[in-house]
Amino acid sequence: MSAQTSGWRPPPVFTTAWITFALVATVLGGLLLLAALAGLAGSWVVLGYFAFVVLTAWTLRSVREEAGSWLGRRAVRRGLVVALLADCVALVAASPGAFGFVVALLVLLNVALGWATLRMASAPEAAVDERQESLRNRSHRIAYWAFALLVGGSILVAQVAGPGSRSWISGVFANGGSLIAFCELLFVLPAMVVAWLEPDHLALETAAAPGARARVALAMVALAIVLPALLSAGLVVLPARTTSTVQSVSISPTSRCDELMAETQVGFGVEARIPVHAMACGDGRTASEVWGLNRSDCVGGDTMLATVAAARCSRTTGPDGTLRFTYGAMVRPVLLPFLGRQVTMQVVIDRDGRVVRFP
Amino acid sequence: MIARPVSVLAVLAVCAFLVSPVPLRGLGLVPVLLLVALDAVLLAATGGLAFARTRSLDERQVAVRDLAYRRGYRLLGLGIVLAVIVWFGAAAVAGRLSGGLSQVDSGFSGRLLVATGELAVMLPTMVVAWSARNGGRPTLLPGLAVPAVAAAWLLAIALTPVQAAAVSHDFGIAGTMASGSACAHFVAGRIVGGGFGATVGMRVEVCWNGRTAFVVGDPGIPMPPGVDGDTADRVLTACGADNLEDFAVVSGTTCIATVDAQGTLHYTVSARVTPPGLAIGGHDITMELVVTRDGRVLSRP
Repeated sequence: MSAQTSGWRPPPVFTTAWITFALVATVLGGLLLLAALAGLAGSWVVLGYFAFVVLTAWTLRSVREEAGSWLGRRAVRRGLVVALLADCVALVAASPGAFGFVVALLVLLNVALGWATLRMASAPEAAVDERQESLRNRSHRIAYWAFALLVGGSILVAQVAGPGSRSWISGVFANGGSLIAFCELLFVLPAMVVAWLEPDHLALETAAAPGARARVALAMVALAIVLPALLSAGLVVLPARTTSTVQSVSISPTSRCDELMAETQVGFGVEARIPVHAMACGDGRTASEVWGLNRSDCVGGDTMLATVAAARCSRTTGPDGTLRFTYGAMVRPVLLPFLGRQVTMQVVIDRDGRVVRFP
Repeated sequence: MIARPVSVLAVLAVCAFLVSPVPLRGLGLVPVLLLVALDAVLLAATGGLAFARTRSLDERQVAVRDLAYRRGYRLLGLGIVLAVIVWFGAAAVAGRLSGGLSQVDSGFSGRLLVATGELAVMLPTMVVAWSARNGGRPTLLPGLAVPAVAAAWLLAIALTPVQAAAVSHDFGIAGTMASGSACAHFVAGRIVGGGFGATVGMRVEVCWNGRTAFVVGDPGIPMPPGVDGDTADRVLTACGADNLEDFAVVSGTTCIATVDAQGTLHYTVSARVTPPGLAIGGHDITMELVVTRDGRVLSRP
């Protein structure tokens, strides 16, 4: 007891790191609350993802040695490098809607890469041994030519190829995502090469096996990396949820009219809502549209990290007086635009104004 | 023999000159050849260490070379950022002085590319040259490299096919510029030397009123009687304003507007692009725009 009570002092409660974390958590919490109050359908998912990324980085920080030893495995490090390069490509190509996700993921991957390489590429001279010094110098040489060929080569080819490529390169450098990708390569490419070249057991050969907290931290890293892809895939594979109401309205003494409202929602977090809101009547001879069943009504819907394009839009009246309206919307996730599904909304009204099918 | 630090400083000075707004008047090849000569001096003085294969070097040389790359990488980032900042600042100043930016998209500036390319290729050699203590040794390399690069560059200007230029992203004109007429703005260009030669541009505002098509904004081209519009506005119509002659000379630029009996406008821009100091290997550039009196475009560059 005496050894501790004489010289030992309790650690400070309010450290800089804790204050930073509290500030970030407060800001994110406030934004989440605002999004919820404002009824912004999918915004909470992006904010929640940001919060998760911050929490992951924080958790990773608290288990740096254990996580570093796991992240120091060659296969994991190479996976991080591939993920970082893919993220850079996404920064150049992604639409503005996906920007937040991609940047948040980039930050997290950079934190993970820092732990994986023990920030050897940018460490002070005194902090690295001779082998590490040699490795990082060699990595810089490889990174130098990779950067020069990748960036300089792209610009040079685009410059001399033709007007289309010249126009593209001018546009690329006006794009914020491209500038971030450029800076990422400029500052982090040597660390990526270190991560790629270094054999297993980067530094701490005596590192202990990861404990429960470290496992949680690493699982959070993995989840943060794959979550955007999972949510994007969910847009395509999860079942659609449809709500609809049909309400009779009296606007004509000789016709039966209905107001039709429906919404089909696909995906979770990465999601799209396809609405149909229309009025149609039947007078015993033929059904007709009052409003809401025109080509101009086949437009989009609410989306979150997704795009909606009209793939089909038709309205026909059959010989028996039945009105058929079909709106087929192609929904694609912004992050994985090669995936997609078609959501079809159908309205069928018979000549007496009865709803035969909706939606 | 030039001292190596002096050569390094000279390379940096030439690069700074290239990204500055000083007009090159087709003589951009001069600083390029100066860079080639300085590069050859530096390569000879360092024994080409930065480009040497690892197996041909001893352990100390490998360490020196790789350290130069590490320092060079950081300097490259700094150099590119500085070059881009200076370039955009210079372009803004030049645009303000000359009454507006070019409406023709000539792509990434050739002189900026040369400067950043020089830094990218030579920075590790410059770091080695700056930090090594031994003196250089005489070499014939500059004497061979300079004429070789000059010949290759001039050949490229002469033989590279002429390309069409797009309209600049930063530009847009809307609205009618002459009373009682509909108008359209036409911008086009031809690039010689794949971005490392010269550009000839066309900038013209054409209006039509059902009786005739005519040019607006050029005081040298009168408008039809009774038509009220801008008689002198270089933003609308300017002959040679979008020419760019960094590495080749653009001469004899003429812009001629003629209206035939049907009221159809023929607007023709002609110029000759030649390598600096040479009468051979040039390109005659002609761009023709034909607009009918009801606004149909029959021909455009």
